[in-house]
Amino acid sequence: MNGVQSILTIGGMILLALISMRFNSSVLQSTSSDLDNKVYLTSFSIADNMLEKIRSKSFDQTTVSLTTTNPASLTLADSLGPDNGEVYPNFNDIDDFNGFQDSTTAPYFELYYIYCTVQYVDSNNPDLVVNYQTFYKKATITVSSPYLKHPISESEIFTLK
Amino acid sequence: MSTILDILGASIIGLVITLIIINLNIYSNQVKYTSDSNLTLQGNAKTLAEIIDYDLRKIGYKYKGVAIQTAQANEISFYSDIDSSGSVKLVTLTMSDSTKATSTSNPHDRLFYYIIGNDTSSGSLGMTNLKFSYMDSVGNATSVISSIKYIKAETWLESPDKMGSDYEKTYWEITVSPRNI
Repeated sequence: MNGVQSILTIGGMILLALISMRFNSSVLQSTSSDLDNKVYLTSFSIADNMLEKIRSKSFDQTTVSLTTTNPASLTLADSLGPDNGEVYPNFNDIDDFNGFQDSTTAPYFELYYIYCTVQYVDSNNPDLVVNYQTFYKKATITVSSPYLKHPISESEIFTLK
Repeated sequence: MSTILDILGASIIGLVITLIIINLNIYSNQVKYTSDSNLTLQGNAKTLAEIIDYDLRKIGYKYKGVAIQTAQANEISFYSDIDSSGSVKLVTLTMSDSTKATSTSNPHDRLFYYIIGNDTSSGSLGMTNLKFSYMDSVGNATSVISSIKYIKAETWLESPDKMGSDYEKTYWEITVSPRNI
């Protein structure tokens, strides 16, 4: 075997090693995506559960017993959050969940962190958060986990109308 | 002598390369199969969750009285006009033991039973466990049927066949607050 043949053989082996490594990396990426999907699935179910809890509460502290037609009588935008003495799980209205944080576990991928925000949104543009009272409150649940590359968010708009 | 050594060396290298390529192909197929299996599993979890979600939300629909009849860890039965036909029926959601799902090689999977009146439907969907938890209005666990306000359903699913050394697994949970209880 002369020098040229040796170099060609070594070059071939290096090429094969590179292809092998690239292939392994693709396989690893695919396995990682499968795992991500499972964690995302569970995260969304946890976010759904939280929204279900919020859904069963009154629209506002002032509408627990009686409804209103005047948005100015609702809780001020800056005061959204649990009222004095209210502690989870004894919340009675939607905005009590503003700033609420919790963690939960699920089988296979253990720990999930939940964060809730509740804000007033414009009646004609639900994507526009406003700093005054309206009959529309947007609850956003964010779920993160050490196993998630990015946290997931799920929102629902609640209305008194 | 040098030629023989060249041929021998080239043959060995060729053999090693062929084995590596065969191995890569086998591995690639296995990964593809695992991914497909995961996708099916997640689709099944979603289907099961939709069935359970739809049914639990209809507990007590058009029924006057205590709608929930059985509230056990693996079985719930309740009255509801589930199909909006105008007739209230007893609906039961439960699962079989692991010996009933014989169509797969997985020994853990069970049949999901969906019983409306006298009609029983069943399907495997790879479900290995179904668990209901019952909570009162503030989220505390309760076994008193009249206090139940939230029902949490948890499902565990596994692939029908082993992927490598173990079965693929997934989990789904859903909490429902039925309006009519």
